[in-house]
Amino acid sequence: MTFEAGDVHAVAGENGAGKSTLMKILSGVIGDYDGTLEIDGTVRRFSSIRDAERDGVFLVPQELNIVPELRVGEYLFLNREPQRWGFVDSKTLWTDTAYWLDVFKLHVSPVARMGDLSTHEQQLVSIGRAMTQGVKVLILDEPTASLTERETELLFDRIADLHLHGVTTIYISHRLHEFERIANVVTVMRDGSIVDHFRLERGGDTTRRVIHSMVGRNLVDMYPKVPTAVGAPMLELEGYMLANPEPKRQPTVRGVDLTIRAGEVVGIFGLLGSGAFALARSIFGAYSGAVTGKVKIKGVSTRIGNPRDAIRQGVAYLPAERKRDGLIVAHSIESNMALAALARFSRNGFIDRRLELQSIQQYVASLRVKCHSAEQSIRELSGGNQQKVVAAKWLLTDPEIFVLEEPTRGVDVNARIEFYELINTLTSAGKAILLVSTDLPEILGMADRILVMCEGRIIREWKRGEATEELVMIHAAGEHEVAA
Amino acid sequence: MTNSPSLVAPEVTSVSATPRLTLANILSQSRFRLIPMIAVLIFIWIVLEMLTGGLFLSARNLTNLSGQVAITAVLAAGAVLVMVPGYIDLSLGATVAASAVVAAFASTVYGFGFWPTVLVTIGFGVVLGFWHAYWIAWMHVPSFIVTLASLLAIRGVSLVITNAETISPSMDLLVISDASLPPLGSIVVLLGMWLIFSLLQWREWRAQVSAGVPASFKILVLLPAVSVGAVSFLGMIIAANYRGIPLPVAIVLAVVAITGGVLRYTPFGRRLYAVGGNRQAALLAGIDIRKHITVVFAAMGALYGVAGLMLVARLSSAPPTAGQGLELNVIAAAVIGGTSLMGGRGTVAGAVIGAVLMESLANGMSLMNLPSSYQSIAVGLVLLFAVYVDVRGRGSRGDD
Repeated sequence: MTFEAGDVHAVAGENGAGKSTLMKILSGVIGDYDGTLEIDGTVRRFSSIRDAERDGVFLVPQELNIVPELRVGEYLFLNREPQRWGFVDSKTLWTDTAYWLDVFKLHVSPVARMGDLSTHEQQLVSIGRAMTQGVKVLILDEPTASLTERETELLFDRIADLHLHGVTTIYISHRLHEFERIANVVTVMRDGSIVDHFRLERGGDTTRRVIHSMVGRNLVDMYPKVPTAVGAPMLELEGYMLANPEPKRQPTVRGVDLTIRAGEVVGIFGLLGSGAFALARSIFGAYSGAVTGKVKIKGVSTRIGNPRDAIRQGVAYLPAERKRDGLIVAHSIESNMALAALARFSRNGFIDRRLELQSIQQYVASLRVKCHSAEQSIRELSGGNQQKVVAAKWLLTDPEIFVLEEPTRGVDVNARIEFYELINTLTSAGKAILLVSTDLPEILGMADRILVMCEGRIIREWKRGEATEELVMIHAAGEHEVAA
Repeated sequence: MTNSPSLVAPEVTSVSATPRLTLANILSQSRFRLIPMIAVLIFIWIVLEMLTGGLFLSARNLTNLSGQVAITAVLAAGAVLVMVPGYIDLSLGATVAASAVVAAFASTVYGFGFWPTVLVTIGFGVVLGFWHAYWIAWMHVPSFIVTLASLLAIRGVSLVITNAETISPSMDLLVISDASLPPLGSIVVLLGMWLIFSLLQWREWRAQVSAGVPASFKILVLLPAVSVGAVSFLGMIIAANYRGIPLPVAIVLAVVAITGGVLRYTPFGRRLYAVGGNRQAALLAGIDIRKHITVVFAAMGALYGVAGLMLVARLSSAPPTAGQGLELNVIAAAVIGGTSLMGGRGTVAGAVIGAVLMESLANGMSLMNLPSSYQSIAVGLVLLFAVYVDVRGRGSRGDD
């Protein structure tokens, strides 16, 4: 794979296709790989981000690494401040900053605090930080995920200017329609290898071609879906709205009506910023903004204000960020599994160890958690086994409604199939499942109904078997009006 | 700028680590972490015994040492309660001294009897505890700051109330440090505690076996029962030969049994570990963090009162400036005993051993007529070394 000077090179692919891993290697985050990496014709091996930056490779991640308390100029020259006799030469600092801000056509003061800038401005300053350090290869990971349309346009103008400076831009995005606007070259990845690579020409339908290359896999083997009889409604949302926790922003979810019935798997597909994950989190009472609208569980109107309410109502939640939200990594399998169900195991205020251990062992065995013993630390388990522990934690609370977020992210193929079989077992026992995922084949393979969210709304629904990856992707990318 | 950067992408192979079961791994598990600590403690005792020419392990000095250890140990047990969910209490020096002042005031100025004085003092401590809980759990001020503020402010309050004068408690309060359980009663208490401990270990083993865990009777029951049995047997011999268990030691045993029992055997205790291990995950598992923290700081407050009573009895006076630097000694004892400053890890038993270790060094060195400056040097180095060994044993740079 070659990236040429001055190009804006778009990289597309589904989650898990290997985009981020590749970019992490290029930017020095991952230092352990086979093969060679050449820059300007010489072989390089980056073992740290510093190495990569020294050779002019910069990554601007999706979650910006800004320091909110610093002023724009201080951040722009962080760790390489202009000096005079060992002191920061503030005159040079501010004039240089002003010069660079002018180059980016950014109308902010060099002494403004980074935290006071909008996301879009922060992003441009981050790009500027790379520019002032002699960037040759700039990697932008989903830069437009949190931007408004206008801000996106402004960012694209700046990216277009970059090639005048001889900078190669690698642009990663799920928003395929953006490619035509800014990219010269597109590469599509699937399952860790490159499946398509082409230069953009006028008149070609880029979005279609990219989607076509991204998809295409045998769904039957991977997704052992067993259809079950659908029963009474378990969870109903009506006119459901989620305010954005950050002030002066569009609501994250605006007006969603959703019903999940017993024995049913409802799959929601939505790109970052579509509100799908906020919706999932809010059903468990863990959303940070204001929630409005009607919620009914088993036909009874209710309000879920915090995770405790949710658990009491029989809701379980497998978070996408497993290590951050779902597990206590330094603790053992058994203390993680028992956590949500401790009240069930206690008698007269003390834990009944026999009951606790028996229940835990039962799930270690039935979910086939691979471990030496239940006292082993979570840290030592693979992603798939960690996810099984999270699943067991919730199964022990005997819930009726499961909210699954990216349940198989970072889970190997075998454990994935085991996990899907678990979903089958749950639905045949009459549980309701909400599956929110950016893994499109997973949604198509496992859900009875497939919903697409875009900009806080459910914009389309299909029955199982009616949707294709192409269709869903076009709607999720907000392209359906064009495509129709 | 006419450079032409070109990148050739590498292939990726994933490397999976396989966990190994080595002796170091086994010893680093929480339930075995105490064994090397006890070994170090015994080693230090033997060295001190030799250096002091047999003075250190005399029954008289051990009783004296136990009085010194008791206050630190009671507070260290509370510190574990606070530190396991990831908080800290820096106020001890001032709040304990203030509790001592309250005890002295209640018994002499207001002429309260023994039990009313005890109740008023512990009640005062609990109020301080709720004060901390209010600012930490409701107002979201970091515990470090809230208790640091108390360290400064409460000390000032004590000085104002007493006009910076030392007041003495009534004589009946001195019982707390002078009395001891009768020898026979002491033996019964120690025997009973050992039996309960062994029974609980045995029940744990039975529970594991019934769940199909290949649990080892030797490791889970025999080893702990024999080692704890040996310690309580030694305690029985000393108690029988001298004058029974001193009351401060009995208080320590009670506090350790309660706090240790709560941490280990109740859902409440388990949840504290979860809060310290990963606050976000604990919240998403439905844990009411605010409620738990309030209880923890209220309990810590009760221990201010208990420690204050022990302090006023031991000094037979309540100087408002007493207990300077106590908070750091207590935190050091908890940390030496394997409690993590980041939360999620720690045992009461470890903290008590940590307290014994620190006070043994201080006591032994004063028996050798070394100035107290040398004691701080020794304690500081022990703290550094103990944490280093712990970090190394876990084979990681902190927890993630």
